[in-house]
Amino acid sequence: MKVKIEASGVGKRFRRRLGAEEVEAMAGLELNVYQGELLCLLGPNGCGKTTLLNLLAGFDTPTAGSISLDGCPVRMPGPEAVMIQQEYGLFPWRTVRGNVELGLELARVPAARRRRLALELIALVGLNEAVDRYPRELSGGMQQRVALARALAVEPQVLFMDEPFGALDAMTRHKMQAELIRLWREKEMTIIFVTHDFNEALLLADRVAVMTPRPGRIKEIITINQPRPRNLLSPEAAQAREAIHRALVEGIMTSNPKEPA
Amino acid sequence: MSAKPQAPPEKPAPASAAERTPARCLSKPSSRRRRVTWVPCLPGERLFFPLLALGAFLLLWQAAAAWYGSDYLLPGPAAVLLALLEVARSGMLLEHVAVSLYRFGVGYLLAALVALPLGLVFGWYSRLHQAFDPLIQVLRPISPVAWFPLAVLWFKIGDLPAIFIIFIASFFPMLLATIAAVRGVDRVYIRVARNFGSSEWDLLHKVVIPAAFPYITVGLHIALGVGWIHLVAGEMLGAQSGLGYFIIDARNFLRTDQVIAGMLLVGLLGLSLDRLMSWTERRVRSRW
Ligand SMILES: Nc1ncnc2c1ncn2[C@@H]1O[C@H](COP(=O)(O)OP(=O)(O)OP(=O)(O)O)[C@@H](O)[C@H]1O
Ligand SMILES: [Mg+2]
Repeated sequence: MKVKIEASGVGKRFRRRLGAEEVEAMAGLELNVYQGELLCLLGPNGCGKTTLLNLLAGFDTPTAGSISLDGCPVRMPGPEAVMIQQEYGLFPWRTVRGNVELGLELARVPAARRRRLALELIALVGLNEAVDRYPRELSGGMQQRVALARALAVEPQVLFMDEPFGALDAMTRHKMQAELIRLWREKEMTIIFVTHDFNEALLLADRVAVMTPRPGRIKEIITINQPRPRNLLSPEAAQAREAIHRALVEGIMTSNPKEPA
Repeated sequence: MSAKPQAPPEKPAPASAAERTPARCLSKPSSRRRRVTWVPCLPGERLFFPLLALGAFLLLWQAAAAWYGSDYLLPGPAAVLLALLEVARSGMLLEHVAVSLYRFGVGYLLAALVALPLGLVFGWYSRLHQAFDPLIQVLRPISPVAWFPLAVLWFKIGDLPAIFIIFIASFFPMLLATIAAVRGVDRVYIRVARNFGSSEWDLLHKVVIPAAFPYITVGLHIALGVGWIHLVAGEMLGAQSGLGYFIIDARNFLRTDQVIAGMLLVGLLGLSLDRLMSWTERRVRSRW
């Protein structure tokens, strides 16, 4: 399998203020993400999941180590790897269509083509009736769909999602998870997905990367070979759940207990 | 994500009056409780109390004027109304109003033309803002009235001194609001745009300006009020026309009734401008 994203020896220190003590958010992190896989990142609060996504997507630069996408070092964010922001980051002054067109507009796609593509994607995420509505007129689930459509519009090779369904109710979340799998299959993207929800990870992931508390590292990667749609009550699922749990607990037990997250 | 705050555990409260009352009685509004929403029953009802207050005010004013007995020191509302009609008939009034609105428009627009781009630049490039902030902070508290001597010195007489005063008065609210608006733009919008490979220029006019827009309009609104307040002051300088001049001129002729008529006009026009602004603001902000 082809490695899509490679992070080696990645460390990240933050300095809150000038002169303040540095916080080591991440140290010696190694991670290979394969082309076309759906990787879930799981770890305790404050272990550096968001930080890692920011580094992988090029929003921030590591203080140690290197990150590459398709073998080229990642320097700044770009449309080949799109992050679905927390709270979705939809533009409130644009309609659903305007939001979905954003990436195409910034890429100078001609208006007619832009419009056609946007409408196609809006249909794909099932928002036909909301094309001309503004984000504040949409439910959380619908906003999430808009954010997805907006990201998919630029045909990214990689999609980063940071607890994307955390704010959704159980039913909507369930629907969105199914939707995500469908879109992922159709678009053949690589997806890196942060979650705190074991079930979500077990439902979605090809592999689950479990992180240690701060400074974050990858503690263990659990591969889930079960075909989708998955039955969470199956023995395989129980086994994977057990493995994730063990990795998480081991990570916490062996970490430096000095500072709570 | 974050857990909802738990409701406090129920305490065994002492049996209150409400607790002993059967539930069906509680739903009836008690006669002493004020109604929270007031649904007008007649179309004119919303006007009724303001009109009543206005009537009472006019009556008191008229009574005070009658008691004073001097049209010079305190003309009554009737005398003021007559004065207003008199100058209105002479055709001069419309001219004064027009020239005032013209000066105000020019001063205000010039201020917007300078303050908004400057505010965008300062808001965006924080280094530049840091450099200029002390200067802004020193100039800002200077009352526009303190610029009078310079205004007259530089612009002599005519429209320009008044325009300059209005410019100064509306400039700072606009500038400061724009800087704050740009600095306050949610970073997530910028991240999204950068993720899609936005150029700096696109970032500015497709993200920063629309995102800051609602807060910029707040500054524009404040500047409208401040500018209008200083219009009259500005026209008391070298001007030979306009509402400020009209008031000063009436005073020189000992026409207190016309002075008050002029004041009233300034107030009414200011109110109209403010309402117009609110209306536009509501229309453009309805989406944000
Ligand atoms: N800009 C920053 N400045 C200083 N410290 C930071 C910054 N960003 C993150 N940190 C610190 O780095 C650590 C990792 O943060 P991060 O947000 O990546 O955690 P996370 O795994 O996403 O947590 P959560 O599960 O709560 O979302 C935390 O201790 C946090 O306080
Ligand atoms: Mg996070």
